[in-house]
This record gives sequence, C-alpha cells and structure tokens, in this order.
Amino acid sequence: MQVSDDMVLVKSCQNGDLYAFDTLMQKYEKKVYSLCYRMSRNPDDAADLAQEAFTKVYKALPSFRGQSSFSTWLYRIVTNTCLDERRRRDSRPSTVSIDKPLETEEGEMALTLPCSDPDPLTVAVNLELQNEINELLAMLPPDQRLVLVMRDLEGYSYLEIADALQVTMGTVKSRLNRARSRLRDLYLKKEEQIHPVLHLKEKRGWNHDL
Amino acid sequence: MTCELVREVICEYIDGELDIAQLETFESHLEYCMVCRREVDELRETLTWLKQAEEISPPAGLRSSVLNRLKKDKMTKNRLRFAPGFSQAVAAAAIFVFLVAGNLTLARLPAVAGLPKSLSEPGQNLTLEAPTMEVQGTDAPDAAGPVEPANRQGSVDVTAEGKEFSEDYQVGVTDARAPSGLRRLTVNPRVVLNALLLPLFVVFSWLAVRKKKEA
Repeated sequence: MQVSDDMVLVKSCQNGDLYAFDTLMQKYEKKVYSLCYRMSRNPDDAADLAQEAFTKVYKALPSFRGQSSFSTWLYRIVTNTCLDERRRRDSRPSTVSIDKPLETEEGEMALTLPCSDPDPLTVAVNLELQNEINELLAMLPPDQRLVLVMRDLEGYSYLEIADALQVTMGTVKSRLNRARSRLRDLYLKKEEQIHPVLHLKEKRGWNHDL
Repeated sequence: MTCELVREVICEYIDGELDIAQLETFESHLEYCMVCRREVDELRETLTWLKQAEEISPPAGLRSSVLNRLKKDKMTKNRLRFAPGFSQAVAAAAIFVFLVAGNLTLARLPAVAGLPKSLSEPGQNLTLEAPTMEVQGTDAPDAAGPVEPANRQGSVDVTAEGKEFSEDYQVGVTDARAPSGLRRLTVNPRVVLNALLLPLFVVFSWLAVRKKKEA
C-alpha cells in the first residue's frame, strides 16, 4: 500500500508536480534528515545535506522506473550525498570535521523531543540519552555507521542495504558485524564509566570483587 | 561450530537471518560456550540501547527551501529551453542578412568599386612593371604566360564563388618572374564578402540543425 502510494506520487513528480514531491518529502524528511544528521553530526550541515539530497532525488526521478522500492532508491541517493560530502570535506583538511559536535547541538537536539511530554526530568534524561547515542555513533567509521543506522534504526534488510549502497551482501554483513562489535565496546566502556563498580561486578562476576 | 565461525554469523543470528540448520548449530554452541553467549547478550543489550534513538526532526524550512530551489531551477531551465540550436540559428540568419545586403549594396556600386581608379579605364596597364597582364578586355600580349584575361563584366554568382574568385581575382599584375618578386593583387569585394560569409553561414546552419537534433 505504502509502496503503491509512493509510486503514484513518483509518477506525478515525473510529470513535474512539485506538490506531489512535497508530499513525498514530508513523508521521508525525518528519515533523511536523521541520517544526514547522524552522518554529519551538525544540524546546519545536516540541513544542507538533506536539501541537496532531495534536490538530487527530484532531478533523478525521471530515471526512476521502480526497479527497487522508492525508499531504498531514495536512501541510496541520500547515502551517496552524505558520503560524497564526507569525501569532499576529508580532502580539505583545513575545514572543521563534520563529526565534531558543535555548541548548537543541544539546542537542535531539543527539536527531537516529543512535544506532548511535559515532564522536564523525562525530557532531560531523554536528551542525555539521545546525545549519548549520537556521540557513540559518531565514533564509528562512516561506512560502518551507515550500515548500522540503516539496519538497526531504519530497519532495512541486508539486501536493501546492499542495493542502496551498491555493495555485496557479504560487505554489508561484515560492516554490520564490525559496527555492532565496535559499538558494543564503546557502549560497555561508557557504562563502565557511569557505573564502574556495578558494571564490573556484573561483567566479571564474584571473583573480581571491587 | 567454532567461536570464530559463530562471530562471523552473530549478526545474522541476532537478526533472525540464519536457516534452521545453522540456527541449531549456533544455539548448541552457545549452550556450552559462555564467551559467545556473553557476546550475544552484550550485542543484544547494545542494540536495545541503540534502538532508543529517535528520529530527528528537520528544521521547519527544509521542504520549502528545496521547493524554492527546484522552482528556480525550473525557471532557469524554461528560459534556456529554446537554447539548443537557437543561438546558432540566429547567427546563421544574421550572416544571411549580411550576405544578401552586402551583395545587393555592392551590386549597385560601379562594377569597379573598390579598384584603383586606373583600373577602371580601359586599356590601362595596372603597373609599370613589365610584363603586365591587361584588364578590362584589352588583348595585349601577355608575357607572364597563360593567364586568361579576366572578364570584368561578368556578374558575381554567389554559388560559384570559387570560379568567380579565379575570374574576378583580377590579377592585374601577376608576374612571378618580376625582379622585385612582388605581386600586386586587387580583389573584388563581393568575392571577399561571399568567400567569408558563405562558409560561416553554412557552418552555423549546420550547427543549428545538429544542436536541435541532439536536443
């Protein structure tokens, strides 16, 4: 149902209907922006990347024939845009890394909080959690981070990820393996720092009484 | 199944991608291998933590910025829509106008327009240096060799400018063997005009057609 809806909108877009494209953007903008944010770690860069990606998507729409689902195809363009930007930035060492968190981050992150939740404590805890997740994700190499986000946050299948990134299934699996393993290490390290005694006791058992 | 093999397919196990046979082997390994079991548990715990990540709302103006950019692009594209071949066609038309206007203007001028006054007087030699070739139909002996006297009364035919050129070239004096080694040439301006503009006209017309076909 969702796929056929997308195809109807895509057909209208192919006939130059910008309102249809606006509807498509509305549907996917959160996903696209989230990915751009997680790849750039900077709200301004993420907005620029998302804009560029959507512009590319519209321009490439005439060539989309429904070989894959629209969302996979869209994701392919978004990921390529993010990776291209990263390569471009990496080739200019004088610029600030897009992985580096900026001061504005906290203010922007507030946008992700559900408006319906009025409890300030829950808001603060959630904000902290979101920041931690994004911080740890940013420590992964971009290709691993991309696969991890697509699989574990966006729920794409291995095949869809391979299709979107134009790599083999084996590459997807090995990148995912390494990404999860690295994230686990980072997560456990973080937990150790937050609850050192409790965590080490749990992890190492009664022989390591601290 | 060894621990190494288990780690290779651990993601597929967590994602439920293993077939029944692989699953049985994997789980039987976990039963006796505490290290692998802990690995699986830690990965599951990490993923549960990770999945609390929320989608991030984009800034309010994102879509409108994209739409504005696309509208602008569209307008630029529309402005350029007539472009393929159009500029070449305009150039070809302009050259054609110059060609016709030039030929008409020059045709109205005296036939000797552009030539030295001496040339317009029949029977006059072009230079004092001998040997000379006569113009304007004089049949003086030509020491220079087999150079045909030019027919200056002939009209200029646009389509045969090559021939015209040779005729209208008006080799007043051509003497390769002249002691000074100099050649003094007088060229009919209509021939020059046609020789320059006609190829240009052809080239631009061809470019216009080609661009249009490509588009």
